[in-house]
Amino acid sequence: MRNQLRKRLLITIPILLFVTLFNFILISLAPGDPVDAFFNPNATAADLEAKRASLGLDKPMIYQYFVWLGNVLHGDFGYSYSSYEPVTKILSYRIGPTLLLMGISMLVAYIIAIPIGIISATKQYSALDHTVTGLSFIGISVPSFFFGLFGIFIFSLNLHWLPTGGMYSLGKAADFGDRVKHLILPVAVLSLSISGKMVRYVRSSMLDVLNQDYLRTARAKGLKEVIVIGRHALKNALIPIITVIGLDIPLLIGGAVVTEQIFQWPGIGQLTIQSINSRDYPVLMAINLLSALFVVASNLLTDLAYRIVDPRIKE
Amino acid sequence: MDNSNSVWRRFLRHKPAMIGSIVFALIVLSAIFAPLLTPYSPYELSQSFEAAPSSEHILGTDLVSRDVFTRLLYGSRVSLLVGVGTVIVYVIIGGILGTLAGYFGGWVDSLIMRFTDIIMSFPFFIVILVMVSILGPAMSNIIFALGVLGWPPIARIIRGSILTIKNQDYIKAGRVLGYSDLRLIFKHILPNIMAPILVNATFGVSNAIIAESSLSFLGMGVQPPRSSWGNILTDAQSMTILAHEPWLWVPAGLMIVITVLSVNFIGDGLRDALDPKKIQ
Amino acid sequence: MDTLLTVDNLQVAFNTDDGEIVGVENVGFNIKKGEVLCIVGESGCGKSVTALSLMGLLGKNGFIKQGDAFFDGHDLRSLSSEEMRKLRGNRFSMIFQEPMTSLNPVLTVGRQLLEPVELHLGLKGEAAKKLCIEWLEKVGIPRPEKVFSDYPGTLSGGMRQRVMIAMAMICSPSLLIADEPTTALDVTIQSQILDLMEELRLESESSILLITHDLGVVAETADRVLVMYAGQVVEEADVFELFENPQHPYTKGLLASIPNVSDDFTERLKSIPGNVPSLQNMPKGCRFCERCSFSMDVCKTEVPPLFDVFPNHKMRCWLGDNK
Repeated sequence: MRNQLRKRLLITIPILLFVTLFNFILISLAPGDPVDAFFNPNATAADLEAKRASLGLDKPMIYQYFVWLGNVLHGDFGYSYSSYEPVTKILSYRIGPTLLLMGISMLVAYIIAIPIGIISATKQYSALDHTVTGLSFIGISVPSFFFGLFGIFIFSLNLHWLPTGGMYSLGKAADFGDRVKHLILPVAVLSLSISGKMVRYVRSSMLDVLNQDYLRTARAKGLKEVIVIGRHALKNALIPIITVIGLDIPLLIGGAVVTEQIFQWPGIGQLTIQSINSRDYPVLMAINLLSALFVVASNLLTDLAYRIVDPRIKE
Repeated sequence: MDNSNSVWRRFLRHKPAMIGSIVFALIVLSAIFAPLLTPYSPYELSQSFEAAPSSEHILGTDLVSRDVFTRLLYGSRVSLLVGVGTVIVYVIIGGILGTLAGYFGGWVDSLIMRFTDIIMSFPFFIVILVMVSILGPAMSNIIFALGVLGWPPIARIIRGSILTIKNQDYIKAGRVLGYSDLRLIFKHILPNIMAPILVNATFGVSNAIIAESSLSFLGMGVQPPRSSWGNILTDAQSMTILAHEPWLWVPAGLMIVITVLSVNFIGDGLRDALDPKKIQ
Repeated sequence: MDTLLTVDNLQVAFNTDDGEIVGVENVGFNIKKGEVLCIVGESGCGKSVTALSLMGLLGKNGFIKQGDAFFDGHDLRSLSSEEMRKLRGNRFSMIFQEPMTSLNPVLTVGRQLLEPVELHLGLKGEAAKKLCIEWLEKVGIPRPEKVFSDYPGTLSGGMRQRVMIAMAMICSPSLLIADEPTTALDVTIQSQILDLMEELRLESESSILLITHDLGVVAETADRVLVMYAGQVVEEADVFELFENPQHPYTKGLLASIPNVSDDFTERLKSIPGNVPSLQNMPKGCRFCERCSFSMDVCKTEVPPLFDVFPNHKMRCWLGDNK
């Protein structure tokens, strides 16, 4: 087990190298010159050349990559092309809101999806089961931006219950109730984007388990149905779901970009769109590395959790 | 396959899949025959801006006075092309890599599977955003970007199926008889793994449609004046449009939902019909 | 001896997409206290369904359509599912064919063994654990303390079946139903398990309903034998009577198909020609008649009743009519 884990840890290094190199090559292919965006139109060619040299842009791409990598290893992500602030500083403002949004959304999604999937499976082919499968289908079929717009349309513009966006109302940064109100719609949108899929996974995983011989054994012992399901079936059904949670992370990051854009949530997702629009490549590279790191770390964590929970893996 | 008849029968009995197939067929037909279904062109300006639905413009007109219904019809072409195009690209890539990995095994297998792991660890949407913004937000680039990052599941399915089938007696017998590897792959292995690929590809179409509409919604996909369901919805980021001119965004959103839902229903029906556990 | 279990005219049906299908019908038998009754027959003949229906473990789609079943003074058909649950694993219990999949892979052996003890015997903590370890020892598991805290994945098939037996016997039930308990095991392990069951039966004076397709197992363990074919009982007799004086053509066929060391090896193994009819299209008359070399006209049209051919020996065949 320790060996396997070390192998998993070692593979994260090529993954991170590959992701960043891929993006670096991509960005170096970009038409236009980041320096254009930097200077006023009156700058002379010599000024631009000097600036380019100072940014290292006159060197070969691979050389630039290793310079960037070396700096990153020292915690230096460079400066934003558009706001001239250090990239690390920009990210530090943005990461909190995104983690808050994603964390709460995951929690809400799983708290709702897992019990529903289980109940649906134990009552297979009942009216409830059909309703749940139907709704989960709609859940995976509605793009989150449309769901978000619809939410704003109903709850903000018509009912005036919730704000249309942002993280807090002006001057109410410390008001807890206000924060919660601002969270409701984005969390609903983001958690819906993963819970439809999760319900389906839980249901099918549970259905697999419900056909297993050991449940018949449990019933033959005279155990109450609550214990047969809650102790014997549940643990077996939840183990494969841990892996799915890990696979949800990239999906969740994508969902966060769209959700943050709709609700003007001041996180990494919104920053991504802004940086793409302003060709702010140092920021984009940092976002890419950060999200790749996040994906890799969560995969590692779910792997670890899987090994701890499933006794069959220990030899 | 001799059970193709019963697969077909099970698919026909799957009600949501049948409804999905009919709806999807209607959407495809209306995309193909769009010019016959509307008197306008999607780029044609009219006299009225942001006009509410009327007999002249059944879904009203947009910010620059174009007919919304017409733009919806033509927008379906984008969704369908991206959906199907993406899947074709990634089934080809995933098919080749998965087949190589599964059939040859050894270092070829571990190299390809490590590469698959790497691609699966990509923060998918962000990388695609960067790709599309740099390659240029054309439809072909969207298909390319979604396809290049979408293949790992197919590669894994194919590799796994080949590994199980490879050790079955009829393939071993083929080797003993001296058949070439390629012949074995195409004649014996591929027909046997069509079912999981078909199901995955169907869900792939709906995922690609959602991805394209999201990109276009964010302004990183298909660019105006060309219409796509996603970029029609971009206008709804304005609160006045969202609140007071629902014809500008609700129909496009519903079209995405209906299309994706119908494709997903077809996929679900295929999975149930092809599931070997249900064939007894 | 007192009768422990009486089953009469039992009919079990299943709801399927294509309507109701009857899996077992006209099944009746008695088990006396301390007796071993074997139900023998090919797979699909309804022997497992019979056992599961008595346990109330048929699942969502199966149900007892008619007939009676009395167990130790309880009318099993009139019990509520809650009352049934309290008897299960307590007064009667069951072990299954597949020891590899019958134990929960993610719960420890101890946890699974403790469940019936806590539930039916009301023991807690150390006392419960002590009883479990005693039983693990009794069924021949080495290092019982360690196995108690292990997961089933660390045990072999034979060891798991021993755990299953301990689990079934730990509340000292008066009836143990064993559904092909040795089929999935190696031959050497098979006889160990059968010996263990016999040992425990003598000690606890419980009865056993043993389901098997293996006539060797029957000969070794049974007091009485019930032969089933296509959902019906076709012959019932004491074990010696059945082996020495089989009456039903199907039983004769089964016995003839056992290879014998003294057989002439130039001869082919005997087998019964044809296949078991499917539940959906049962023949109108005798269910065996298409494969039977004694078939008469009446067999094709009339269902034979169970005839008493000898004292304590019944068979479902028209050949028994004139006896």
